[in-house]
Amino acid sequence: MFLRLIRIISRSAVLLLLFWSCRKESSVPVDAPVNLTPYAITYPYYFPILELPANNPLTLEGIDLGRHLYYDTILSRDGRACANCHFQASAFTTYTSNALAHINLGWNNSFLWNGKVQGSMEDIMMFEVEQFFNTDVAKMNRSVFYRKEFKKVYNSDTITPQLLSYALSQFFRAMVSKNSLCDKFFLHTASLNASQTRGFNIFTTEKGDCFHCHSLGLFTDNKFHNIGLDSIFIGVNVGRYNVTGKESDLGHFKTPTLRNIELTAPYMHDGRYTTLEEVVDHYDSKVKHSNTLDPIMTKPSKLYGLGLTSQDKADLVAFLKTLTDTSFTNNPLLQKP
Amino acid sequence: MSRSCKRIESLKLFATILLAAVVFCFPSCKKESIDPTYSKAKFTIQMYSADTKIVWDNVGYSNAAGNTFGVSNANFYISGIVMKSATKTYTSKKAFYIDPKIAAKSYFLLDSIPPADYTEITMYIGLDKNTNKSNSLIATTDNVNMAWPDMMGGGYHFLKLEGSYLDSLNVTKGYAIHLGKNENLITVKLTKLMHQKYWNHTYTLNFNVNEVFANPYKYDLDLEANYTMSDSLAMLRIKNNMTDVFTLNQDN
Ligand code: HEC
Ligand code: HEC
Repeated sequence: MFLRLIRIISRSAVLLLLFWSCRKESSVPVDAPVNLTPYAITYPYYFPILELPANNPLTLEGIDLGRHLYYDTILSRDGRACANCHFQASAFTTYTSNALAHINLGWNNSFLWNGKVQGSMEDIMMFEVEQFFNTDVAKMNRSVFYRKEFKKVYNSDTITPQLLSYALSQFFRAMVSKNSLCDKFFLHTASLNASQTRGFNIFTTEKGDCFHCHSLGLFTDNKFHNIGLDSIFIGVNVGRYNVTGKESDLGHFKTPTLRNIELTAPYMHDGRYTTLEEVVDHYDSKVKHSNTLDPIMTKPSKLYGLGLTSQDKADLVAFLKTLTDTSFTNNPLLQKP
Repeated sequence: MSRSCKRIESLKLFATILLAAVVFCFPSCKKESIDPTYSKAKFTIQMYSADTKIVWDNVGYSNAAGNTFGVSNANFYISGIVMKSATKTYTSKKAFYIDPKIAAKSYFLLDSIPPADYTEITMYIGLDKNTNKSNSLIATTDNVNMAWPDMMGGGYHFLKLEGSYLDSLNVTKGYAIHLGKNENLITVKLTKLMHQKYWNHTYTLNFNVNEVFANPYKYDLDLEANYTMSDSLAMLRIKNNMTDVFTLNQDN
């Protein structure tokens, strides 16, 4: 009797042990890498804290593997590489489409214009590999180079979609832009000229009110808003509604970062504007009313336009251009191998 | 039972006991204090319009001025918490960022509370002047998004309450009630018996949005500023209205 009791207790204890897990780890078995060079991402104090997953530690070798994948057409079935639409010189966008820039995405948890993918970097990379590129994993496994690299970085004999997404994630986390003139201004190692300073004032006061969504630091709040580009929503313009089916999400789009904005034309989710002047004109006087227009955009001064002078507008554009970071667009760590 | 069978049985027994022992000695993930002189309290914030629970983005509630309104976002800080009983005073030095829309951010936890029957709790909606300085809070995405630019005095938004209302012509318009600046720090005082006797207690703080727009000042979104950030009079009125937004209930 006593024996049976003990057995029952201990069996349930075993079950307990099986379910015992402090942190939610991904199911991908990743052995601790050996002989790899750890890589630490550094960033200024005004950036939010970067959360990194314990099961995909950053290493120079891992980042480099991700870089190879990013620039390699092997990943797709039609001769495309990620870098075909995401050019480093354009802060990883293209001049011909509305491709979102790859800048500081390590801090993001909502991806794509309508936020279709929510979660970690590994999640969006899994989406890119499996759904967007529908990568031929068998082909990857026939590559002597990649088999060797994955063995080295993840100690795995086979290449899986998960491991592809892990390696790409490492590369994406390394895509950090933090060296613009504006950063030097924040860190008091450089100053802005008169026009840029006036533009900064407009940006960070209710006069322009840009900071409420393009929060200083990352220059995005990682949220969704309708900024009044349309009043009737059809096709791609329905935005986040496509994902949630909620009417209140009509016309809502992810706030893009403004870092390197000078290099990422055309602008907005459908690339409707080709210059920053046009964007500023939109905020100044072209905001269209609708029921889902962001509250910030419907305050009286916005409803009737920001009332910026042409000098104000030029100043605002001058400030936006202080967010260009050529050390990012020339960073050898991110270049084509 | 044969001898060898018995031996196997006792071996099995030994192994299971060993396993059980290992499991029981295994350190727990969350380290619970086992000191019986301290207890915990969880306060969850829920949004209401009078007695009706708010459904986000639903423009269907009505305030004292008769505006039909809805709420799409509420983000604020709770800090400076003090609980008092006849004999004890408990003070928390923490500042909590609250977003009632997101379950994981809709509550704050207090620990190390000396057990007592507390009769009063006071707290700030916002941050005291020592904390309300640029970059004083740890740079989480939430705190960064709450920053009040240096150009406008620095520090943080105490509160962002945003949504839509119908104007006199029944057109949907937005409102953005933003509060910041030290002079607009809101002190909330709730007199309520709180049995804080055991390990974990849970409370609900109901945030009645109607009280933002009334008592003492009847705030008509169609006539007053529907955007308060640069309007010190509007902020003052909202601040005074908001001292009674909360009601407290003990759940267990
Ligand atoms: C044919 C052009 C093209 C190719 C090739 C391409 N992308 Fe993109 N990418 C885009 C466009 C366009 C968007 C914006 C689409 C949207 O949001 O709906 C985008 C968005 C993204 C985003 C979201 C960024 C954000 O801020 O949310 C990520 C991440 C991304 N791409 C990664 C990749 C990766 C990884 C590859 C290779 C596996 C890749 N892209 C290949 C065009 C491309
Ligand atoms: C209510 C939030 C909000 C405010 C306020 C706001 N933005 Fe935006 N911004 C957005 C969103 C969301 C988008 C993307 C909209 C889309 O594509 O539909 C965007 C897009 C942009 C873009 C284009 C980015 C790209 O990569 O295509 C620029 C440039 C920009 N904003 C600058 C500004 C400036 C300057 C101000 C102040 C005058 C401002 N924004 C105010 C949310 C906001």
